[in-house]
Amino acid sequence: MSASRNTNRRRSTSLIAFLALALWLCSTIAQAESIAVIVNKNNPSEPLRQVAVADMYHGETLNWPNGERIKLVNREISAPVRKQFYERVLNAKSDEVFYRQGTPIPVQSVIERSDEAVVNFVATIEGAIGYVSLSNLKKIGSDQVKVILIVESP
Amino acid sequence: MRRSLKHRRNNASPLGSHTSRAIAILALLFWGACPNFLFAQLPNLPSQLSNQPLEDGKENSVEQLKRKVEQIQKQYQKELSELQERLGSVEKRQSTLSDELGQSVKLGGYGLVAFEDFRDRKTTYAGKMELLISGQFHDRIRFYSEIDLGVPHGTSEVEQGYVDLLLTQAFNFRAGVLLTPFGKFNLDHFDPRQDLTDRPVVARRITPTTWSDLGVGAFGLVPLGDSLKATYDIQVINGLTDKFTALSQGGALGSSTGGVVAQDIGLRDARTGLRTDNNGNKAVVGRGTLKFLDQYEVGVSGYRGAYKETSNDQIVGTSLDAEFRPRGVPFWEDFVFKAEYARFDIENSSAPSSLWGYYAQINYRFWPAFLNSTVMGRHFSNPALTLVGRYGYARINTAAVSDGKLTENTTVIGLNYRPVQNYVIKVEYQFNSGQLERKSLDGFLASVSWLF
Repeated sequence: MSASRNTNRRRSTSLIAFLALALWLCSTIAQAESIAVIVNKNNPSEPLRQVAVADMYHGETLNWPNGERIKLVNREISAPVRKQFYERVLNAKSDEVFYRQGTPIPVQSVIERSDEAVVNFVATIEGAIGYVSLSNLKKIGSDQVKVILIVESP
Repeated sequence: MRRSLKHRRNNASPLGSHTSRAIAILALLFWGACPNFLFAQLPNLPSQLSNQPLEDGKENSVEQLKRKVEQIQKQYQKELSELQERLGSVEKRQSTLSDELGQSVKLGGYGLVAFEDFRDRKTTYAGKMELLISGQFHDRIRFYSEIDLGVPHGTSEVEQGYVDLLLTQAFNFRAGVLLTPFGKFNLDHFDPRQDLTDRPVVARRITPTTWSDLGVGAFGLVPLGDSLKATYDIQVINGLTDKFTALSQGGALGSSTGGVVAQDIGLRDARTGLRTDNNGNKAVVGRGTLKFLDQYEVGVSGYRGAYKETSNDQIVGTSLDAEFRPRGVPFWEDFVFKAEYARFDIENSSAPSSLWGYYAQINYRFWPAFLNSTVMGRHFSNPALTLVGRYGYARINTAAVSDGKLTENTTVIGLNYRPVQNYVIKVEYQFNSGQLERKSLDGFLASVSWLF
């Protein structure tokens, strides 16, 4: 009698654990969004690899192939899209500071407070590169900028 | 009398009738010409004044006015959106201009105020203020200066002051007062960037942090694959001299925070202090690193240079360092591991003949959610607490003491609070044992440091 009760309890515990895990996984997947890395429409660069974008934000690549200086656009530290971009593209936490190669000089970027503002900035400034959530870009309209990389949701 | 009255009545009556007629005609004309105008201006006239045509005219006027208002609103919206667009464009250009200006010259600095309380010593405050100036006067030429403003010793000095000629990612040229690329700690010595107040003993007595010298060098980055990068930094500098110290005189020993300073045991006094070389031979120093996934870094450094005025006897140094920041690994991603080993051998010297030491440090970053509603978290977007543990050891082999060596080991437990990345309040407790610097005195340190 007590053995069967124990077995039932164990099964219930396993089921609850499994459900909790499934729920956590679902919520994690649901939170992750595809990210679009965008540049100005006049930027002649071809689609970039994730490593190349990371090198720019790490301060290791300072200029576009045509010689123009890269102007980095970032979201504020608390923005979910920044957290995802830093984790998936830069392998870093969202508040990590990068330094110019061989110096203690921090890599500078323009901070914008919304995806719309990022798109507007990149659309206005040649040499700018930024990132926004792909779904937001579709809402805002992607015709103002050029999508150079899409980081798919995991 | 009666006649005169009659006459007066006869005289008055034609004039009065003419006037009355004229008034009546004018009234009719006025009534006929302006009724709409009058009713439009007086919408709340009593009902006996209104009639059907007047009401129609009133409605027409209201409709016209509504249409006009709508037109004005549309026009206004159009102009407003155009203005917003222009303003946005101006803001972006202004932002870019300020960015460009920021690239040209940037003034910053960092500071530290530290309090220390070691057993059997008087408590003291120590401090540090450094000025940072950087910028570019050409797209490919940048400069950087770090000037110690002389707190608390009173003598300011240039810790770094160089100019970079940026040629390619793999090769760039640097000249000036250079921060010596020996070990990671010396290159990353800014107090606000560190998680403990006191520097490890190996970075004070073995590698003489902050170690800089006049010279020229080259540095660069070479990608070895998507996940692997190599960097190098090599310099030709004046080099260390023979002013090193094996044993303090008078017994009082130095503190990296400036608290109790008498004589700098180890290689600290062998730094040139930016004076001219004591011999004609230049020293060569360099550091190479391998970075994997931008999270795991391993570095190797080397130093070789003559130190005497009259002979070619050499100081030879080697250093190994590592820093791991696991990312995307649940639980471990909140940890940082750091370690460094350094050794110097001095030819034809017995006091000291060699020096070596190491440290290993582990940081755990966390933030309990309940602190978000307190003053520690309420006003900040990403505050953090970091728990730090470090063990360090240093040894100086010298014939100046009977057992041939001076050692010291230090264990530190610390906690720091960063409301933002560049402002930190640190507290720590040290357990010391040895003869080099803190001797066997345990003590408490606290500091506030900032970087802007």
